[in-house]
Amino acid sequence: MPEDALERPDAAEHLYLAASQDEVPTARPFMTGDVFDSIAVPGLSSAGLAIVLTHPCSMRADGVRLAPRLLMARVAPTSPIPLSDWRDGHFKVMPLPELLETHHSARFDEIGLVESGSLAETTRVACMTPYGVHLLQQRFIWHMTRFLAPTHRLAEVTEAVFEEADLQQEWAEQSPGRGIDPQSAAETFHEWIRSPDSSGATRQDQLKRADQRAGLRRQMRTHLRGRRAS
Amino acid sequence: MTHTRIFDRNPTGASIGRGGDIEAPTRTISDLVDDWGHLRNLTGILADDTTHLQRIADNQHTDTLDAELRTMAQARSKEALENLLDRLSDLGFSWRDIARAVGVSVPALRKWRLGGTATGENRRRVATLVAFCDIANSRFCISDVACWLEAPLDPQTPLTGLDLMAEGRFDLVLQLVRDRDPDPQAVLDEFEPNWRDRYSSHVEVFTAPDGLPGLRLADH
Repeated sequence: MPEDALERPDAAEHLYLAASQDEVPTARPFMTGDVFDSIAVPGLSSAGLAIVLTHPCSMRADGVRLAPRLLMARVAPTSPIPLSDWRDGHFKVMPLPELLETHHSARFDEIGLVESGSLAETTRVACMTPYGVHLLQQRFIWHMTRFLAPTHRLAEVTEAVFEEADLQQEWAEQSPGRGIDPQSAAETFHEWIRSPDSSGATRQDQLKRADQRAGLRRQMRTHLRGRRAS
Repeated sequence: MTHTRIFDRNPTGASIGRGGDIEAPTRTISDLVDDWGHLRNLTGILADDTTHLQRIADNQHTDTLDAELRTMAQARSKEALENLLDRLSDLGFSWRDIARAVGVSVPALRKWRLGGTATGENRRRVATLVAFCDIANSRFCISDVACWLEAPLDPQTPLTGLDLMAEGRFDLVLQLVRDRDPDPQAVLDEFEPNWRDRYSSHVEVFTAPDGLPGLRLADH
């Protein structure tokens, strides 16, 4: 039956875009589900791993600069939690199997607002897939409210934001003069994504429609090729 | 004088309905019931034969399409992996979707894009996706294959053609792409019999006052 239990992934690898620091794409903008090391969460005793819980739509106030503070949860090593046990228990945590080659959990009873200035690319050790983030959100919502939000509905709310993050990452990776200041790349990308194309609609609005995303990716790739050639 | 058109009761295949105009004796309603019943039986047999033939042609078409896909994939797999990925990129696929359809992690795909090598099996999977796009475009005139593959197959589910591919069901995607009047629900029934239950929801997406999407209980 639908929506009578929390969901679980079929495999741990479905959770991560990067499950260790060497896999993290440095050009990817910070997002919900990113795990950072050496984070001091206010109210908790020592610095350590922490995961971003802030909603994807609230990560940035102006689309470019991070919100001053982000909600984060402590991530700690745990004994393995079988995928089959996700539905019926462990409600205070988001299991993070095979993170950093071992098992961890994000603890929903150890959360706090962290100054976003303390997050650095050098300490980002993992990124989640959109599906991983939706599972994280589902469990956090359940922990906070006992309301079961289906992941496919959570996906509908945030998919355009994740698409934009993907494009921004590709923009930074493919821009001429790779290695340019990430902030500068983010600004030029946002100038482009917020501007209208020949249809009159802004590209950002087009991203909200699934049937226009492939066309927009083609448009951006063509644009980047043109910039590289000039 | 009454002229009645009657049907030969012992027709050859070519003589059905060719009864000539003859002077008939007075016919009863019972005769008409017999005539039309006979015709109904004959057309039923023809319809059954046609359905049977259509099923055979359908299976043969599926098999030959599948063979064509494998042949084209084999030819494509001789190309450089970088070229295959460039082709998919030019079509507008996201890297996440390519990784999912091919059955590898995003970091693995990223390594390939940066020049890393792939196993023969993974190269074949990438080549199969490219070959599918070639067939969909050239044979079935789907101009934007990436868009077509990432669109939900039915309003009641987020499942897409890429989800079917991710589970290795290229046969079902070929079935959708080749039919002029495809039946996505029948394909979904074969792919995941409980899809209706799984994706029925008491939660719906709405636009909140700040203009952003939100979730709320549906008003059933």
